[in-house]
Amino acid sequence: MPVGRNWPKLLKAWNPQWVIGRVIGVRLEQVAKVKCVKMVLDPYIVTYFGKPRTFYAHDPEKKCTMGDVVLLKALPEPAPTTPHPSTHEISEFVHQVGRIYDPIRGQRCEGTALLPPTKHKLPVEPPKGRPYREIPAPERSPYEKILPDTEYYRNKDMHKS
Amino acid sequence: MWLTLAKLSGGVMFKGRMLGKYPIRRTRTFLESGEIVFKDRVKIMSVNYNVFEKNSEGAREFVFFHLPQVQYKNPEVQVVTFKNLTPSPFFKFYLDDGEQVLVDVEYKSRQEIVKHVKKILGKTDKELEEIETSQQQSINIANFGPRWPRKCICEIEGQLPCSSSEDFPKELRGKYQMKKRMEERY
Repeated sequence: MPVGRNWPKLLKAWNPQWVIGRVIGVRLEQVAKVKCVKMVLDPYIVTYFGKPRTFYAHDPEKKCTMGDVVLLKALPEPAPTTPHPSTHEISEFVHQVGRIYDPIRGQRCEGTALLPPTKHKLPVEPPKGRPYREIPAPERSPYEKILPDTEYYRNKDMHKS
Repeated sequence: MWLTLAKLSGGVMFKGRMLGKYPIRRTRTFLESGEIVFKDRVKIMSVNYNVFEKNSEGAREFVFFHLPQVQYKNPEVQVVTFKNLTPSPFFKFYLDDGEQVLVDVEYKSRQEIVKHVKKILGKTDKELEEIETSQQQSINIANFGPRWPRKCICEIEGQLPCSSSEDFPKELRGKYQMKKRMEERY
């Protein structure tokens, strides 16, 4: 029995206003390649599979590295960048590489462990992408206002109880 | 019983049973029985949880059981999951205006999570009933065809009976009408 599985057609028709994706490409001059995944139902097996699509985001200030998780907002008109016209712009960094914050505790974390306040620095070796000295320094994350640094030692073993 | 299961699962069965852990998740009846229908403002839902920690047991079960239901009822919402990034699990909803809603999910069971999310950002039962009744009213009861209960015009009262059971009257047959036209010409 033929089943309708026209994924390219479905993905081409997906042009949302807000998307979350991961940065793949950083070598283009004013454009960041972002990979966004849409969960699509396979009608025969009745399970959801992630189908990817790349969007081109306009960032003239070169704020992002490879692997950042980014929230994109659709531009009213596609910006005339070369070689690809960018349809979206970066509105927020959800998770930055090497600088992930726990929004509920308000501190930097690495995996499932919180970092002490002395270690709030960038890692030594940057991943693939441009080196950290080229990227402008980040602003303070909004989550840091929830708890000051001294609360780290009080909350260190909260999740282990 | 196994026939209906095979149809629901799409025929993917082995030795009379469906494949996988908790295969009821892969049935259309289970997906349609989802409770969470988001409001029109919600565009993205992101789920952060841990795979081995005890504080995110409810989140893990929610992702295992209820996430396909949520996606089935809201096909235009992008659902994104992240594993083992932060020590505490949380949900985040991104709305149309740029507003973001943070939901703490630590040490909660999946039923509590479903109730909470439905209360915050889900459509109420009244709204869902209104949508159902409006959809039923837009469907015309007088329709017939392969998609509706009455398959052929012969099933409708006041129409001719089925040509498979009774022959048509002579005047309505194409043969008779053509014969008459030929006779009139010559």
